[in-house]
Amino acid sequence: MKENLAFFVRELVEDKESVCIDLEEDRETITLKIRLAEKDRGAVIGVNGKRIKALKEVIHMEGFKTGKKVRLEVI
Amino acid sequence: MSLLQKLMGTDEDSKIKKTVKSVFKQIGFDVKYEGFDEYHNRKRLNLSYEKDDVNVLVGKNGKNIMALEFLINIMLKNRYSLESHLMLDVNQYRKNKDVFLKDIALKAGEEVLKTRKDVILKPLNPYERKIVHTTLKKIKYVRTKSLGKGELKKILVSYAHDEQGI
Repeated sequence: MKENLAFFVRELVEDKESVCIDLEEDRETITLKIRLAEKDRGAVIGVNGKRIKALKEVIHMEGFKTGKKVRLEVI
Repeated sequence: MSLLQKLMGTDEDSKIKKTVKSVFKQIGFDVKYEGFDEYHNRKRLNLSYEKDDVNVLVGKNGKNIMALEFLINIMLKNRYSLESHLMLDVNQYRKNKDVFLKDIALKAGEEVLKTRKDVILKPLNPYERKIVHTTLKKIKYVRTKSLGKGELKKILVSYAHDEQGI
């Protein structure tokens, strides 16, 4: 899940080196924290959050199998 | 375009295919490529996938495949400056959905013409609404309007006293 998210996020940003994904998991939810360069925040979130929503849908495709909720956070 | 360029994979189709392949490899869906066609001036790449989790790939109302399509279009723009507005279809899902939506639109139109009462369709996404609007545009004495705010809106189909449907 982490690798998939990193793949897509790296495609969206300019500063690919700075991208780092942290995964936190508890009984019900998986939280994926996206760390990236300040200037790239917009490229990941998109207008009205359109890009982050699309990322969420795609990551959900995988999260669906685990039966847990998946959350994305941009730090 | 020269044969060499084609072999080197510099034309648009191979760039698209390369990008789409990299995405499906990453997310672990072993899709087959059925080739390109054209849909309302948009390039459409037809895929087929025969495993049980095809519903995960398509998603509710096609939202997963549309999210992938959205991200792939950004990737094409970032990687190759291609403004292709590519459309992805899996197992002809979207082709069939178009037929279904046209059918719903025409049925609503017929009912409006018969009863002259308004019909409200269930919430649809922008792409689905476009199909309904364009289908009913051709029909005289019927007008359509989107209701509400946000991504999903209902469509009001009503009787127009003017022939143009205004």
